[in-house]
Amino acid sequence: MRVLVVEDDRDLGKTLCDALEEEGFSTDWAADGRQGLAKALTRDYDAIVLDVMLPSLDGWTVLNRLREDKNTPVLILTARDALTDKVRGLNTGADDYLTKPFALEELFARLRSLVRRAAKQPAPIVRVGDVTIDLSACRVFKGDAETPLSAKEYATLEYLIMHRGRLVTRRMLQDHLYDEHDETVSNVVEVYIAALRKKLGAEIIHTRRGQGYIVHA
Amino acid sequence: MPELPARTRPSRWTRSIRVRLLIWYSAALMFILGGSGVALYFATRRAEFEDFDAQIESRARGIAVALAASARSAAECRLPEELARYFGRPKPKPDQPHSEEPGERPYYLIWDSDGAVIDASPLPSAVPLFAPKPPPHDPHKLRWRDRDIWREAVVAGPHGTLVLVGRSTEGVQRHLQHFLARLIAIGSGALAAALAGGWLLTRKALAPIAKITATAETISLQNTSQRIAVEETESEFGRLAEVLNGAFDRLEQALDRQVAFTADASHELRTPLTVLITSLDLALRRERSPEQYRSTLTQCLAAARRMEEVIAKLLALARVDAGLAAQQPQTIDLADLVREVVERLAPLAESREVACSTEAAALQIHGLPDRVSLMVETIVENAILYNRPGGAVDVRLAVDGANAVLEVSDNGLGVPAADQPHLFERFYRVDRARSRQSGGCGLGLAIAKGIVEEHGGTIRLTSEEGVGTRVTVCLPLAPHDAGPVN
Repeated sequence: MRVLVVEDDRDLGKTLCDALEEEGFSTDWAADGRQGLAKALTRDYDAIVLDVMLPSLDGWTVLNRLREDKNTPVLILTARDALTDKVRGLNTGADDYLTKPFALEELFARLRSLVRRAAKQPAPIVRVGDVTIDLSACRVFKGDAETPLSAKEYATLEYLIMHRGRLVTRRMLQDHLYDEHDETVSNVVEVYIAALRKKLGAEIIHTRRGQGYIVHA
Repeated sequence: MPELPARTRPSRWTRSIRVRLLIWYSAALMFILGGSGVALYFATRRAEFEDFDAQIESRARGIAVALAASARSAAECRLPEELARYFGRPKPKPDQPHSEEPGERPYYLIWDSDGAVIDASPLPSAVPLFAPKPPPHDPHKLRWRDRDIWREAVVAGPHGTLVLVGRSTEGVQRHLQHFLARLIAIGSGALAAALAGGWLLTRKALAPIAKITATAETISLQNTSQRIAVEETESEFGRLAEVLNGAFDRLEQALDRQVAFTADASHELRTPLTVLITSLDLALRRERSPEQYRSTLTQCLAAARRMEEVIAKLLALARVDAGLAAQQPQTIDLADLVREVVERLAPLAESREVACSTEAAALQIHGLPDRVSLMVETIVENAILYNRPGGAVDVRLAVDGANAVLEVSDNGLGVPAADQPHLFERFYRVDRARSRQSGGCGLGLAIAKGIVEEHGGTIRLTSEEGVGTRVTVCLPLAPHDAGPVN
């Protein structure tokens, strides 16, 4: 899942990105509203974490302009917890709201839930063949036994599951799983797909030669 | 509003302006009505008695004149029958004059010079009769005598006789009583009518107050935007409503500023707190390398320092807001203080590659050293922070008339014209990202302004973007230092 973090505080922005990446998200960081809006409009993010008080363009303006074009799920992050601010955020088209300071677990859970809802996959537990994926806990079971996956392996599987029944191109996987600073070699996707097939069985992910991958619903 | 205990406040009735107005109004009315009633009563009473006296007098004189015309001796001084009938039937035995009461008819009595009764009409019996002293021999003089309710006039008759005519005043008194009763009735009626009219009038006059009260009652912390509808701007109530609305406006603005200030303060504290919590949260999620721990701790320290700075500034601001009372002002050598501050900031200036120059004339002001020092430091620090490498800060202290003038100018970044009017507002920042890196939180100039104003001075900022900023502070010199310094 690719997440855009729009936060003007350098330390907080960097920490958030680090934390999200450890959780298997790939992240981009924007330090002000204008930059954030530009990034949000040019790429398809799975979710945006948006601070309200931003230099150059404030969060509300970014949200308004973004909503003219895109439905990317937005989680508002703010130091203000006044009720009117919450209502305003949700009325402006924000999908969720988190008050600073917050627990990272809660941020992860809310982001995952946002992404699931946006992918029309609200149920947290998905079964494909004998493989069970718990999207909220980020755990994968083959039969009854839990299969440990690396963060990137899990992120790849998660993305395919979110788009179950639809074709996922290698380009999409690259865009959503690796952030802009990654020096991704072109076969990195194949490497992860191969690893997943080895751990969960070859029949789970189908290859459409020259097009991409698909997990059947 | 807390209710006072019932016994210490006046009763509800006397507190009402309407009731008080009516009380004063009716008191004035009663005074006027009562005064004119009393005057009228006494004037009437006097007229009645004068009338009464005149009747008696004319009768007494009439008798005297009639006797003088008809009687040749004192013994013949008896009233002729037709006249005597007028006073009631004369008694056959004049030595028993008390056998019949005259009632309210006039009565007469004639004495000879020895005090023996010659003639009389029926006389009142309640008070013993006795011969009056003879009036002076002037025939026009007469003597008045009051016995109980009877009023009598005595004149000198012919042949040394004395003629007395008297009459009961009961009729006059009764008449006056009726008159008084009528006066009171009319007066009370008029008073009641006037009070009723006054009650309606005050209700009409005070109706706008009821309206203003009702509106003012709906204004609360939750609803500060409500205002009193001003209909008649020219009337006293229109003015009152306008004044109240003005006060509500100022209250609402103050409240809005307070709310904004609290929100800003909480935001300024929450942002570093979030960095702190998030960094620690992340670091503790799994085992890390010592480098990672060190980096986290450095980040946390920076965040904690920022919180410390915000708290210190908030406290400084709160102290300035609280006023001078906490400390004793003293004479400060401002030149020394300025040099100290610049020295203290030298390491910062060096790290930013900014050159500081100071030129300070010896002068003294009266004030709180800590606060003046904080003010100077804030201004010089800003000049260093919002500068560029290789820039310069020029600190100049001089005397201008009765003022000390501190000028801090830099050739740094400058402030866009649109932001200049807001620079002294709390938490106002030209660019949050930039000041965040410089460590500012938007309180410094607000604190400086508060301190300058508390010391009776003024602060001014002129700036041109890309050219530089100049802050000018004027502070009154200490009294003995006023005037040019040699």
